[in-house]
Amino acid sequence: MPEVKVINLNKFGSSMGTRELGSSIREEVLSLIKQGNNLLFSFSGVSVISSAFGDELFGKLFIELGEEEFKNKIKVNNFDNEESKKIILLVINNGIAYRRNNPPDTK
Amino acid sequence: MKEIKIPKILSHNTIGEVLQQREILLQIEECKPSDEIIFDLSENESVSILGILLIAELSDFLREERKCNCFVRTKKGSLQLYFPRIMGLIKRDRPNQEIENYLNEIRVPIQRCHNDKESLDAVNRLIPIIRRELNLPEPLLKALNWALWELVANAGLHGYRMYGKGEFDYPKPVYFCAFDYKDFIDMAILDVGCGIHASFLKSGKDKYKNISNAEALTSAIKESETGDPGGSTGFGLYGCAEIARKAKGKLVIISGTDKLIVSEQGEKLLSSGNFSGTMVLLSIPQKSAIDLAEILGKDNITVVSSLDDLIGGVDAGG
Repeated sequence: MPEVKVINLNKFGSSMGTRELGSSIREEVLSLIKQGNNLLFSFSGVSVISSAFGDELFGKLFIELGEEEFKNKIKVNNFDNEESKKIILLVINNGIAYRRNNPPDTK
Repeated sequence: MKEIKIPKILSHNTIGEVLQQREILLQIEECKPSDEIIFDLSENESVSILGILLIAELSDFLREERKCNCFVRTKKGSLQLYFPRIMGLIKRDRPNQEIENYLNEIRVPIQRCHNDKESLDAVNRLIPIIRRELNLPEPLLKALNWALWELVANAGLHGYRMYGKGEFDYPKPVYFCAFDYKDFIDMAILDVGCGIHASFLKSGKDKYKNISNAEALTSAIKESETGDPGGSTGFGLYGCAEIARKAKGKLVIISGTDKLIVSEQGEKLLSSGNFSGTMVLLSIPQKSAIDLAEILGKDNITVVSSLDDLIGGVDAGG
């Protein structure tokens, strides 16, 4: 049974928007996945994320892992409220949708 | 000494006059080291947030690149003193306690960011101040927080992130600020990057090969349209435009030789003074009921079988 590593995103701030941050977190979590871990992104204390951040972290992760592995290994939880949950999930979804439809840009 | 006359009412309608003077000042022969440049606000009745950012950017450039001395002239005792203060331009040789007290209460200075780390810190410093000072409805604050990130990420991409990629010889900062003005909150952002038009032209996409400056601005607010060569969702300016429309506010984009104004009434394209970078103003009534999720979810295609598939069942704890 793979261990679930929790990534507390609030350590980076109450909102996140830069590609650089999304990219550095992605690199960090990819090495955790390669070690056989599953991941849980905790959004406690995070109000919103930008499209660029959502794309850089989750969109590119979706492409790098592939749909099945992404669904099996990546989970999100611990939203502050329903509204934050809705917004953050939609941003993540839009990032994934974009990357799935534009795979050459992930290179 | 050179004096830069600022229009009495410096709004996005009159910012072209400052842009014209900026064009002249940027010519090397116009400004030499140790020249004294005065931005004259002494007869000014109002200054928009975009105007403040533009003066801040111009004075930074003249000081840092041309080694000029830049100052702002205001009426003594005027509350406008706080504009130069936030720009760091005020001559503080005659302190006035009353004004000083007022100035010290202004807690939303211009944010100058030279990299992503500074942007991250600045946005996360600014939003709690807006929350505390303006007491906005939480959904509106979330929408503004998201919009600010979209604008900052765009500006950074075309500003400091181009440094070292053969575009600029130094990391050009991104400027942003937020003011409450009457019943509105105004957020503005400025970058001196390549501008929206050049961004579309450089994207390498066939459909943008012959795009005009005006077309680039109107395309930028359409969903999924982007000139970002690295690829992006194209959701940022589109989402900001939707927020402006639904909130009965206004989005103003100035880039190149055009200005685009988006509101509930539609889109208005006007010519502007030439600005090689991009300025964006988002002006929103403070009592707006905005549902950001509705905007983000419009035409949404769910890519995992259900978004709930992503929700994990493990308690993340601390």
